[in-house]
Amino acid sequence: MITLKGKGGAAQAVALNPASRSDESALIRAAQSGDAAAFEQLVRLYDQNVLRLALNLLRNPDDAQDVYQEAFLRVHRNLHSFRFDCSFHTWLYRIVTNLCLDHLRKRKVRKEEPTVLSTPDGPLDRMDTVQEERVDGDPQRHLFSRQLRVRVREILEQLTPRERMVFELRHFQGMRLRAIGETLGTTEEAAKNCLFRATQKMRAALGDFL
Amino acid sequence: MNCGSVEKNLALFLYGELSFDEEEAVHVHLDECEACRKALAAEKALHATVDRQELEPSPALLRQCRENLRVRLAEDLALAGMREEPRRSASLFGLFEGLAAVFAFPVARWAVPLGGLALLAVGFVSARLTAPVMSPQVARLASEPMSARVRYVEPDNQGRVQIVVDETRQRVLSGSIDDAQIRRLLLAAAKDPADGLRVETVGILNQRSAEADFRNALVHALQHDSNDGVRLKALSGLKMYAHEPDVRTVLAEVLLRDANPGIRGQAIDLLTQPRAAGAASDPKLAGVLQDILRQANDGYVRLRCERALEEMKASRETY
Repeated sequence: MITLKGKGGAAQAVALNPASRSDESALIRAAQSGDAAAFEQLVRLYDQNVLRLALNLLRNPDDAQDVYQEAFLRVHRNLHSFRFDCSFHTWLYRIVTNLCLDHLRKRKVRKEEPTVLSTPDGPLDRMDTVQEERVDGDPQRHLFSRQLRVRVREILEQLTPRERMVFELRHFQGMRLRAIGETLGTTEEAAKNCLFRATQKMRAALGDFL
Repeated sequence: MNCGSVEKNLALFLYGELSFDEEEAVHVHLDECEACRKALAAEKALHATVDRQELEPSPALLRQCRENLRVRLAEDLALAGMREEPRRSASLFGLFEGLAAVFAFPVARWAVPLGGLALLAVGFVSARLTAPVMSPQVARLASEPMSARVRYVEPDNQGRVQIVVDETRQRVLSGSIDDAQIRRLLLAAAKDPADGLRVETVGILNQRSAEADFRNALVHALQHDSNDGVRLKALSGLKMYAHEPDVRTVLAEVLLRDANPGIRGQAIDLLTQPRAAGAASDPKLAGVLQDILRQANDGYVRLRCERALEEMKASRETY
C-alpha cells in the first residue's frame, strides 16, 4: 500500500495496481544492483509521507530531518537484504517508526522542553513559528483556534509513544490497523486497543472545545 | 448493540475498522438512538479538529532533506569504497600479476601491442571498481552529476582512452506558475517515469486546472498514467469540469477501462452528479452506462449505473 495525501488533510491509502507494483519491484531490484537513479526514484516515491509522519510525530523539523536521513540511509545500506518477504512500504515504515519511537522515548526520559510554551500572551505552540500562519480575519476565532491547537498538542504529548504512533498512522497516514500491526511488529488487536485508548483520551480532554 | 458499546466503537466506526456485522449493528442502533447520533457528530467534530492540526512539511524542508541525503549517500559510498580498497587493490594486483606472467611468455613481438590493450583494459576496469575512492572530496561528490553513464569507450593510438559519458546535472529553478519555463518543466514532470514526482506535479497542476495546457495534462494523466495515486489526483483536479464534453468523454472511457474500482466509482459519481448539466439527457452516457452494466463486476459501479439509468428513464439493456 502507498499512502497519498487526500483532501482536507486526511490521508487516503491507495493500493498499487499490479503494473505499479511491478514497477516498484523493478526499481527495488535496480537499486539493489547499485543503480543510483533507481534508488532516488524509490526515495521520491515515499519520502514526502515519511517526512510528514516524522514531522507530525516529533513536531520538530530538525528531528524530522534526522529521522528522514537516518531512515533512507538505513534503507540504502540494507536494501541488499530486502527479500520481498513483505511490502517495501511495510519494511520502510518499520524503520521509520522505530526511529520515531526512539526519539519519542528519549524525549520522555530527558523530559525535553515541551513544544507548548507559556508566554505573557498565553500558551504558544513552537510549531506555530514553523508553519505558515493561516490568515483569519476574526480575532476571536483566531484566538480560539490557537487555543484549540495548543490543547491538541498538549494531549498528543500526553499519549504514550505507541498510542501516538498508532493514532498518527491511522488518522493521518490512512493505514489500516492490520498494516499498522505488521509495521509495528504487533497484532491488529493490539493496534486497535492503542487507537481506542488514544481516541478516548483525546475525546475526554477535548470535550469542552467540541 | 446498546448505547455503551456503540459509543465505545464510534472511533473505529469512523475509521472503517469494524467488521461488517459490527458496522451494521452500529448503523441499526444509530437509526433509533438520537443520543448516539449526537455522540457520532461529536466524534466527527473531534476528527475534523484533529485534521486541522496536521503539519505539512514545507517544500523547502523536503528539498533540504533530499539535498542532505544526497550528500550523506555520497559520504557513505566514499567510506564504503575506502573500506573495500585494500581488497580490490589486492585482486587487481593479482590480475596484474597474472597478466604480467602472460606477457613474460617468450612470444614478445605480438605481446607488446596486446599488452598495451590489456593494460588499458585494466585501467578501465580499475577505474570502475575504485570510482568512489578516486573522488575523496566528499563535498565535491555532492556537487557532481546526479547520475552518469558511460556510453562509449575507445583507445586511441597514444595509449589513452576516449570515453563518452551522459551526465545528468541538477539545478534549482523557482518561479511563478505563470512563468513559461516553469510551466514547460511542470508539464514534462507530469510525464516523468518517477511516480512520486508525477503525484506531486499533478497536485500543482490541479491548482490551475482551468488553464487549457494544465487541464490537457490532467486529462492525459487520468487516461494513461500507470499509477493509481496519480490518476486519482488528476481526477480530483478535473471534478469542476465534469460537465464539459471533452472531460465527460474521458470519464466515460475511465469508467470502461480503468483497473481501479475506486477511480471508476469516482468517475461515475462525477458523470451522474446533478450539477453535471445534461446528465439526465445524455444518450451517449446511457450507452456507456449500459456497456458498463454488461461488463463491470464492481457492485458499487453497477448500483450507480442502474440508479443513473433509472433517473434518465433509460433501460438497463440495449435492445
